Amino acid sequence: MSNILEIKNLYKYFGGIRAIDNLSMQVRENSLTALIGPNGCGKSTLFNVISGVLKADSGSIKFNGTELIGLQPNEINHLGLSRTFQDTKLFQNLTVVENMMLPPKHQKGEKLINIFKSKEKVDEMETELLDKALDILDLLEIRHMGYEYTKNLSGGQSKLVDLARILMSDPKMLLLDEPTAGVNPALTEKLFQKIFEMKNKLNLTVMIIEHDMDVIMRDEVDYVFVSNLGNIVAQGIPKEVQKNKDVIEAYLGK
Amino acid sequence: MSKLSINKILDPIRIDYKIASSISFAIMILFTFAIKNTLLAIILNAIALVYIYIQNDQNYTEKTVNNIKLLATVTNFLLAFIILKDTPYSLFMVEALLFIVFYTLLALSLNVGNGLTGIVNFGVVAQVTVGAVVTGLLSVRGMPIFFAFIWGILGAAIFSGLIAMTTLRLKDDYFAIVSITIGEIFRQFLNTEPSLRARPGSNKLTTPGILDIPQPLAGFYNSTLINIAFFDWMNYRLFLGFIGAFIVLIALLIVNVIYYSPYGRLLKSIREDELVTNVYGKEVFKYKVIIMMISGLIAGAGGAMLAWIFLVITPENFLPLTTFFAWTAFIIGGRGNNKGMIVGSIIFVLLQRASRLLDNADSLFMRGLNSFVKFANPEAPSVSISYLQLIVVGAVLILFLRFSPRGMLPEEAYRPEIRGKKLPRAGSQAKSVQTEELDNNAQTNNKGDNNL
Repeated sequence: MSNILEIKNLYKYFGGIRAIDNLSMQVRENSLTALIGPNGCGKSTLFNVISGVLKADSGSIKFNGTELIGLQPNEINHLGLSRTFQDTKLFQNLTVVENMMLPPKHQKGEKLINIFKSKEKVDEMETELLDKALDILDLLEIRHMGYEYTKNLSGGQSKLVDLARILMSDPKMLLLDEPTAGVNPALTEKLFQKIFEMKNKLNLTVMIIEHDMDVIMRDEVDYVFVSNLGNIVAQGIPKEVQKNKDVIEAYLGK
Repeated sequence: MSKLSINKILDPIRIDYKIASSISFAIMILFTFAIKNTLLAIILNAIALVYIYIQNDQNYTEKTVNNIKLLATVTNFLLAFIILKDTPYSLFMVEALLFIVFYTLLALSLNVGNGLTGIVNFGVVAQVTVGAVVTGLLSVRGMPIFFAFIWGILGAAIFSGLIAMTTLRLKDDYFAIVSITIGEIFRQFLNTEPSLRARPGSNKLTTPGILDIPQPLAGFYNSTLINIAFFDWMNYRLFLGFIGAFIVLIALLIVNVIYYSPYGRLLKSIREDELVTNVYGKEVFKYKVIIMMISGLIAGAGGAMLAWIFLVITPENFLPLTTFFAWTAFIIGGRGNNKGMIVGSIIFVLLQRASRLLDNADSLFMRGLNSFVKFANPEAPSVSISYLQLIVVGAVLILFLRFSPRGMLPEEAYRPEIRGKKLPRAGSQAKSVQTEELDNNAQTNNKGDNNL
């Protein structure tokens, strides 16, 4: 299998803090990769740099052979790399379906002239998008929430809607930033089942930031990166990583 | 506030919202035509209107309720027009109509910029200035008024686009500060630049300003045709008000198309979270610039309206106060609701100008106020009530922000129910599942009965 994401010698400093310090990693296509590490080790910063929200100081990130450094977040999204945020950033005053109908690319209604000139085509596309959104809601079994304002949803429901929203953009690769933070254990299990299911169904590459070791050590996880102080300290299949001394040190202290 | 006490009092007598509103309407119209006493008719109309506003029936969508409110408010205003047509107040109503048109355009412009896209634009007056100056200058120099108007609104749009491209990368509050400044810069420019002074036939004026601006369709109005066709109490000011209302209608239609389209959804998501919209593949900056241009287009039309209302443009017409008045109308109306802009402007203009009705030194109110002031300080000069208008407007703004931040007509959800495709709402699906189970149970019971 080829590598879909290749990061080489990446640096990102915030003043004196080294958030990412000479980090290199490869992610294989169609794999489920987990990124773990203690708080403040630069996991979320890495996601922010990959998705273009933050600018890297130096280094290279290649996605499917395209250099991502210097691209705007919207351009990176159009390459097929989508991400979620740690604090589910849903559009609070829009309904679930409206939230989901935003991400699809090349919508006809995104051009001002089209909504006056070719209204029927715009409507047609809207119908298609709505169908697609409903299908994804069916897949996640939350169709009944469709017209609810997202501000009225609970934390766990928001996480599901976030997942539904990210799937609307037809991504090749997903970066999920703690998809189960603040979710109860039963729903966590369900959420991961959904993620695995969808990964297989839609041929996705998924990279997850996660703290729950039980989840990381599951069979479905192909590869684990352990990050500490802005760098990768260990990597491998879950069972190898579990035995690694550096990992135990990073998580439990010396 | 409406959730507090009034509803509890009205709760036992609450009937269907549409029926209640229809009755209120009927009463309103009846009062207008049946009652000879002007003051009584106005008070009764206001009561009927308030009744429509405090109704809170969950059975109807926000959209239906808002439509009824809009209809009631506009009808009430027009009825007041009819009630007052033979009284000394008719002039007041006509002037109020002109300024309602002006502030509706400004509030609509703000609604596109802030209500829909979340741009904190405190530079409305700058856009108005460009629209007014370009329209005025070109028509004074001999261009047909219609083309001068088109150039005026296009000029305002292009100007807004340029401002947006240079300053919109600033964060909300910083952009707000910059936009106030731009309006002031433009006003000072108008004050000092000799080429922006004109009157028909001469371009050299010693004082700043554009004088004797021609008004639209004045020749058409003066022809006998229209005098026969319309009522005898029609004057040109009122006719201008109707022209303005027509412009508002067109602006409203355009904004409404944007509002209920995927484009509007995109703009709303920019309002909710710029970063996330960008991360989901939308070029936020481009959309914000386009929206600033559209808001400039509408505010520019407001500027042209201002030039036609005053006939004379001086820099004093473009004080930053106009911006804040527009924001007040916008907040009263309900941010994010186009129809609300009309309601907000009607309420704001009537509030702001109502004090002028009392501004008569012989009136009971003024004599009372003056004697009170004289009692407090015998050497004080006599007061003019018009000083009160800023206090009234400010107080109303604070009350709205405190008790009803969503405004008179709250924003409606855009529900993409295209061609009859409907989703069950959260509650209703659970209900349908239950009823299905019940049906199944009933069927099994029936079967059981048969077996027995």
